[in-house]
Amino acid sequence: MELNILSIFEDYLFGKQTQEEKAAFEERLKSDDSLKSEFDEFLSIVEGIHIQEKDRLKKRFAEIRNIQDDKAKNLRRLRIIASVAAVVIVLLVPTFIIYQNLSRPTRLYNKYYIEDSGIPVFMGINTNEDFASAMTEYKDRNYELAYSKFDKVSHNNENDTLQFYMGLCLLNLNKNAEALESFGSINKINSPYYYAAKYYMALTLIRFKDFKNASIYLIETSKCNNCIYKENALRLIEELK
Amino acid sequence: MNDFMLSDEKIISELKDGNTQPLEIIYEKHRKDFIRWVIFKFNIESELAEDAFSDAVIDLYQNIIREKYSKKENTSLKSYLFEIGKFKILNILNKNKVAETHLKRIADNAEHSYFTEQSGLAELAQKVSGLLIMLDERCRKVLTLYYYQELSMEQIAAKMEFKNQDVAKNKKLKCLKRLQSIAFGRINQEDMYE
Repeated sequence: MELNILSIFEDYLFGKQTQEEKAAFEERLKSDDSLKSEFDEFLSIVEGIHIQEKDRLKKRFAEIRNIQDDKAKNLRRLRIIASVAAVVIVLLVPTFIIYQNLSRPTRLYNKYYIEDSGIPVFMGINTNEDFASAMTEYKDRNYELAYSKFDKVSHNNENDTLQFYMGLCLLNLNKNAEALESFGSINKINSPYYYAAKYYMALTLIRFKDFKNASIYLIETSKCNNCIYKENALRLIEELK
Repeated sequence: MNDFMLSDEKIISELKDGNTQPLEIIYEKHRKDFIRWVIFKFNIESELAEDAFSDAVIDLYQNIIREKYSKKENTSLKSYLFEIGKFKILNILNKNKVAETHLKRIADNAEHSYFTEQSGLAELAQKVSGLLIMLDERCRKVLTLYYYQELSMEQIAAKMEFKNQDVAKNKKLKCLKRLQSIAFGRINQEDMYE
């Protein structure tokens, strides 16, 4: 292809010709087969260049599209994970906290409850049969029956022993307010049941979630020397802090 | 360049300077909006929308370098691009015989094949595009910058660091001849060992 012909082709292609030049060129194309053939070749080359460049751009766009879609997919996945995590946190954390709060008194009560095995009863002339019978029921963990029998005895003979075991029966029957009353009536420091009563009062108050007052009774319990309740009282004080 | 905040003017100026990277920014920035919009508007498959959008970006580019888009039309690049894309979809769906509207004018400007009616030459062009790989990188670049991106010889010389535009012009001519030789079998020694 000669340079001057190429210039004409390019001017025509890029619209640089005047109307007259353009018309003249188109006339020549109609009459000159050789020129027409050369021009078609030229056009096919230019169009080929266009096709190739468009393909390159489209490939690049496809790459961008894949990157964008991958990012979006990852973002969606992250959002789902975050949503699930949020739901789990929203549902589980309060549930756990509520569970912990609800179960804490029961957990502490069960952990620190010390079972009193009762006192020995010897049948003899001076033995109060009703008391002995009540104590037997208590030892057999028939707390309802034991309480009614202790209660019957208490009408004639009120003392700390009766109040203490009545309190334990009531505590085991989950009659906490009445248990508090029974234990609360033991208020002489020289009573053999004094510290034990304070300890069970503390446990009863824990059932009421009254940890503050429970601590006060535990501190009182911790003052006892050589009693089985002291060590537990001290540990429970720590746990209630 | 990965600046989503490029102004329309800056994008146009970069494209006219032969830098096609802003096209990637346009594609990345507006793709999702366009796809959502046309799927909602025309209820079409996303694949069709994707193809139309790629074509629309390329046509937008052609309109810019051929000065067929200008800001004085008071249309943002995005709106203009979406109009091209919309027309392409309408065309594909054959829903609308769009008359001489603004939309058609834009699309007509964008649609350009030099010989769409001559299928024989179209096949030849396909063949030529496949043969371009046989040219070296600089040859492909000089031909693309000139015939596709329509840069002047002066711009090409600056961009490709030729001594001057005459050197660039000479290089373009040699590359064109080499491509002709490969495509149409007129191979000569000079072309082969340039």
